[in-house]
Amino acid sequence: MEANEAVKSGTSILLVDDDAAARDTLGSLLPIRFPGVAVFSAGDGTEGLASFQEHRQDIVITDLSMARLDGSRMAAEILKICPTATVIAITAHTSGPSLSDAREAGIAHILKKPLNLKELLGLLEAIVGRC
Amino acid sequence: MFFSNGHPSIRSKLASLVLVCVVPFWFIAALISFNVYLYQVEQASREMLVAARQMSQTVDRELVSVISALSALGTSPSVARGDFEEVRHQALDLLRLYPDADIIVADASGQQLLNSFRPLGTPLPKRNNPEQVRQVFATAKPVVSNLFQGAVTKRLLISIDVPILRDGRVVYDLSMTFPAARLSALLARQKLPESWYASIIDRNQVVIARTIGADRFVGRRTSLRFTQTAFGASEGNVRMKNIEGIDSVSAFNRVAASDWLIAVGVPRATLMADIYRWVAWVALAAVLISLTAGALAWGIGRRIAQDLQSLVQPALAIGRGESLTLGSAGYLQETFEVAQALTQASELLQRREAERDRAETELSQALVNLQKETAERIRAIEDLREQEQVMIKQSRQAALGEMIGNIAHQWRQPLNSLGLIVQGLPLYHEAGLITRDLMDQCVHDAMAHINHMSQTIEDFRNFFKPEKDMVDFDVNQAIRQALSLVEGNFSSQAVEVSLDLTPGRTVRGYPNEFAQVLLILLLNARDEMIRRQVVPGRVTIRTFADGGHCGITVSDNAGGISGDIIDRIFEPYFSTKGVQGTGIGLYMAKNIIEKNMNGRLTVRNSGPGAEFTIEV
Repeated sequence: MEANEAVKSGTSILLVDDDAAARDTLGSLLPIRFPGVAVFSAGDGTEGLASFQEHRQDIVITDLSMARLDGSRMAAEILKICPTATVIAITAHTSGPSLSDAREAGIAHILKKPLNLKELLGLLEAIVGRC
Repeated sequence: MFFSNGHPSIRSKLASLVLVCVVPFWFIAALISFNVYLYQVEQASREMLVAARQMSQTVDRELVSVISALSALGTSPSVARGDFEEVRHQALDLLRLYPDADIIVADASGQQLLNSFRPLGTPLPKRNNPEQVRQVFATAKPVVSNLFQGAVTKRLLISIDVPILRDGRVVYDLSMTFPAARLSALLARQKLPESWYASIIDRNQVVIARTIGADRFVGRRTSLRFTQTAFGASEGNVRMKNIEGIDSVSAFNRVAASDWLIAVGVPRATLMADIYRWVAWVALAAVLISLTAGALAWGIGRRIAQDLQSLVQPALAIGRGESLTLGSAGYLQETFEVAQALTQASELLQRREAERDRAETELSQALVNLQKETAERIRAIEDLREQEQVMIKQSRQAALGEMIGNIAHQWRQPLNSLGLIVQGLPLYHEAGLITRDLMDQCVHDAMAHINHMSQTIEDFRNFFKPEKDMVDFDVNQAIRQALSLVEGNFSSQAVEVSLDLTPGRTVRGYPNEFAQVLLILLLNARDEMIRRQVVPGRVTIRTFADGGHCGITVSDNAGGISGDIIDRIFEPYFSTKGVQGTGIGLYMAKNIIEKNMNGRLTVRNSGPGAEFTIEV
């Protein structure tokens, strides 16, 4: 929701997670590694979608299972709006219907919980580099 | 014999009956006897009176014949001539008819002029009864004397004097004197019945003649009572003591010629002897008849008693359940009927006994069957119990699996956050941002997650803690506790749980079991929402006061339960979840609420879904 002051790089990230603690921690870590990246956060899919419609973030990192509008559906809506956006899903499930839903929705990357920060940062570096 | 065991016997009753019948006859016999006695006395009195009359006439005739003879002698020519020699001859002729009698001629002074007992010329004394001579001269009529003693012979005599008239004037007294014994002989000739007696009594109440004891009683005066009764009357009956001093019954009659009394009597004892004999006969006959009747009654009674008693053994035999054939038993119609009834009763008893035996056999067979069936049922129940144990195990395993899944879910987020905090440290270090404050912040955040995870474990551990005793617990707290176990899972499944709790609802029971029920209902609702893809899923838990009880409803929006299975959902092993369902959850839930907590668990469709209601 709240954009960081470092928007000069032009890259922006949207964090969508109903777990506020994890969201805040990640939200405070990302600017350390990517000082120029603007980080937005949202508590569920609906909020996330609203934020995306407003800010058109480049990267969306989302939890999959959320009460209002889960990650896969939100991703589907986002990709409908902006097919170039990159959606990274973080999920506790390593298999199952939510995973296949996510793939169908066009989510490019699926990371599992507990989140390997290195892996996420590596992935982000690669994407941010492309941006 | 009359009484045995305090009960009167038939014999005694019949004897009493006879006695009752005989007593009136005795009374009547006594009455008849008394009448007979009266009749006999009257009869005897009448007969005696007749006899007295006859005797009276006989004596009268005798006296009249003497008077006639004397009168004839007195009118003979020789008397008129004064030829006493001739008169003596004629008198002696006459005296041939009257032996022991004397004929005397006396003058008015009573001087005997002629005495047939003495030859003529013999000096003769005066008459011994001058009063009678004087009466003859005075009345010129014949006079019969009373008893007197002869002047010469000193015998007891009677004299009959007739006047000898010349020219209408009495010139001599012609008398015949004869012993009173002649009259006794006359009486004796009258042939009175045996034991009767007769007597002649003169005008001085002196006995002149008597058929019995003449030598003792002639010349004695009769009893005063006889005198009082008889004199003054011409005839009659009298009861008195006679001259012998014997109580007797008499009849009397007055002799016309002499004014004497003829008495005919019989000792009362003699008279009564007949009556007594008659009465004795009657009494004897009555006694004999009574005895015979009594004996007959006794015999008949014995026969009846025997007849009745002959039924005692058969009756006892019936009691012993023996077969009975009385056939022709029973001498009397009644006992015959009773015997027949006994026979019928015996047959009936035999038949019923047979029926009872058959029924008993059937019953014992049924009992055997019942035992077999019971054993089968017990085995079935044991099987069921075993199955139930298996189910409980399965249910527990399912719950365990579910809980482990929940724990995993509950832990994933804090673990994730914890991971991020830990992994963030190198980032901070590289950026040279590590400060004391940052470290404290990181430790604080990490510990918050660790504590949360620890609490989660504690919650689950509590939930699985076995409960031994019922306790009073807050329903709302139990609901929150149950919810805490699944809320992570529910939120990740996008199922909202809203609470509408009325505070202060305390119930008695096992809180974890109660929480388990809520979990079963919540997880069922969640599963159904997932199955039907209800988004967003919504579960409402509401508590409310329900009289003295507490009501809890768990309602969802998962579309409800179809009518054809709603009645079966509490059955064990009934499941709509396919291979994933055990069919145990709701069965367990109902058991916990209704058996362990004496409550009710019901279900209905309400609005958008199902509504389970717990009343505890």
